[in-house]
Amino acid sequence: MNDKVVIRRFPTGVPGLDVVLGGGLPEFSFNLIAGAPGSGKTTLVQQIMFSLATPDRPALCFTVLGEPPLKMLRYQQQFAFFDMAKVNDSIRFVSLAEEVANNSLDKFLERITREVEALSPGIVVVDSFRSFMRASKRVPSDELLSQLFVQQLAIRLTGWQATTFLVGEYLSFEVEANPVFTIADGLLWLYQSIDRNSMVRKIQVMKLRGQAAIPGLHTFRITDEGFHVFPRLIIGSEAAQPGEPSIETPAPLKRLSTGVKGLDEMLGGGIPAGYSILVAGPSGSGKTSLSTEFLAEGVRQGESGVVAVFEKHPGAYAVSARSGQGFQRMVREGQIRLIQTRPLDLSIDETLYDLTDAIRQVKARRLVVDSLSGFELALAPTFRQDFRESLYRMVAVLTGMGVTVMLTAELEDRYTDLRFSPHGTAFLTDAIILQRYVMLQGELRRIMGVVKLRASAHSKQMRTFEITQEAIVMGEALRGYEGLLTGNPVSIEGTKD
Amino acid sequence: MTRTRETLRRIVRRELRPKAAAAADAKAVAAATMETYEQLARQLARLIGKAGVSAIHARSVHLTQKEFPWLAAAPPAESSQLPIQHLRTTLERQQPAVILVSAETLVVNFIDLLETLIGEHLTTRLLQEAWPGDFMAGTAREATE
Repeated sequence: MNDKVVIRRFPTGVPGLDVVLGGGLPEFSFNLIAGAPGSGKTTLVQQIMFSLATPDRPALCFTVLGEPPLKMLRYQQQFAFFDMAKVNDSIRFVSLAEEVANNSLDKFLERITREVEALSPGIVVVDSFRSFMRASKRVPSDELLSQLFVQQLAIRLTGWQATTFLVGEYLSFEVEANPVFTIADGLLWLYQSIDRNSMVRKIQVMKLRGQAAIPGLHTFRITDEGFHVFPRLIIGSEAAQPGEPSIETPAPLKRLSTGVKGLDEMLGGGIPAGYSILVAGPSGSGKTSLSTEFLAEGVRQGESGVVAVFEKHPGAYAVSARSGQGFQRMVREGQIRLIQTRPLDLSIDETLYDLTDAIRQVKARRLVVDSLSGFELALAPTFRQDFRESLYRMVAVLTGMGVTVMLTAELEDRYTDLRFSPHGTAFLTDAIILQRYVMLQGELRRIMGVVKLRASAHSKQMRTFEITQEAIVMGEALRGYEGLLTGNPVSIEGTKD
Repeated sequence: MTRTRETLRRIVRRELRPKAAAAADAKAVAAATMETYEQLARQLARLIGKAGVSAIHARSVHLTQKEFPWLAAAPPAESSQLPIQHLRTTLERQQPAVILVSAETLVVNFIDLLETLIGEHLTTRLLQEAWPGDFMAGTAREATE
């Protein structure tokens, strides 16, 4: 018989936060939400409160001195989660400004106890707790007294079966000195990180008794809907999320057609399912055409797809895609999900969240990221430094879901060296397709070759190809030349074409 | 949906007048009207604190003084007492009919200001708590009038 106490966990109602917390918020826990002014503390606690509060499990929100309650009510109701119908029925706001003005810890505790006894709330919020503790410094109170007070508050509220949130403006160096951090069961810290002109919000679960939260910093965004946390996914975590139908991992030998007949032959029958493949080439070489063909072929085979477009406006992307109308129809009918990007301040985790969310929604088996250069530009500067590492994590998580991932990379048209990616990311992918322009008999021609295909035989030829209205048509293999990859081939016989 | 000022005045009138009707003199009328106002102020103070109520009250008095210049200015907002008491003495010096109209205007200004700050929906919920009874029914009737 297992006689351990079972701690129930509440879903917080904040997208992504339950994953970070390791499965939700422990019932009857005593939590502190800390951070600098403007970091989103009140919004976070209000969103959790509005989500959890019901007539059977009412919430009591004590407003103290931080944000004046009048302003808090005025601004918080702008968020979608602020449900007017819950105010007073499920959520009671109580101002403690008077108790603070009296500088009395006892009166403060007494008033909280009185209100809690009257309502029997399941959730208690004190916002801002720091304001009160600061004000109380004016009366003879030392650290021990503060600690006793916080302890009493924690014991009483837990005794009253309330899950409690204290909100406070604390600075990170205070963690060691302030007793509230020792007593709290949960400690959520919110940050605003500034790098050049961009600001990125991050949350850290510094402590959560009784369960394993995901360590480290996780980005979040505040929109009209409220808080949205993008967990820093760890490789393998996406494949086995509880309560979600897992995407079947494809059989290892299954090959996916690219939609380009000759290219499939060069790949030994297509791209092995679950592989990541890099399509590298200069501007206009046909990378987008190949990637849309790859997605369209998937739809023809009954496999949905997702494309994240970073260089063009998604609307323009669908129009300019070679398969034009057909591609747009697939997008319209939901077989292909086009992801709108928010340029210049993205985090890798937010992008990964959008991608995995779209993959689950359309049950996608194919994914295109077009292009890596655009993706890197769309990231907030602070994330560009770790681009390679983050990309490695992203590709691993996505292929771990059983999705075949095609990434395009724009190459500068250099004729003196051979590169596959401007990011040094070529080693991350299982396969590489290289596209180039060459001059042949005074004509600019496109050529394509398979440079790498992990654990599989593949053609070593460079073949010409044409992009027509109907299809990508592979042409002849260029034999009898050297220096093809320099773009300026020379006939082996010594005759320059 | 935005409540017109006229609708608001009718709602306030319905709350103030029945209580004042039974009053014998100016003092009793002032006491009855201010008691109704205090019910609202107390309810609101739970939510936004006395300082918040005092701030809105002071602004309401200022706005009402344009029509009734004899109204005494509100005490400083930082006072720990609810700021309604000081009005009673000022009102008592007026005729009962004037007391009623000026108190109505003051309360209408107060609610109007509250609606501007926290929205009509939340204000209505507060009014329902402060003035229970058939407040909603009354509001619904107003809408059809």
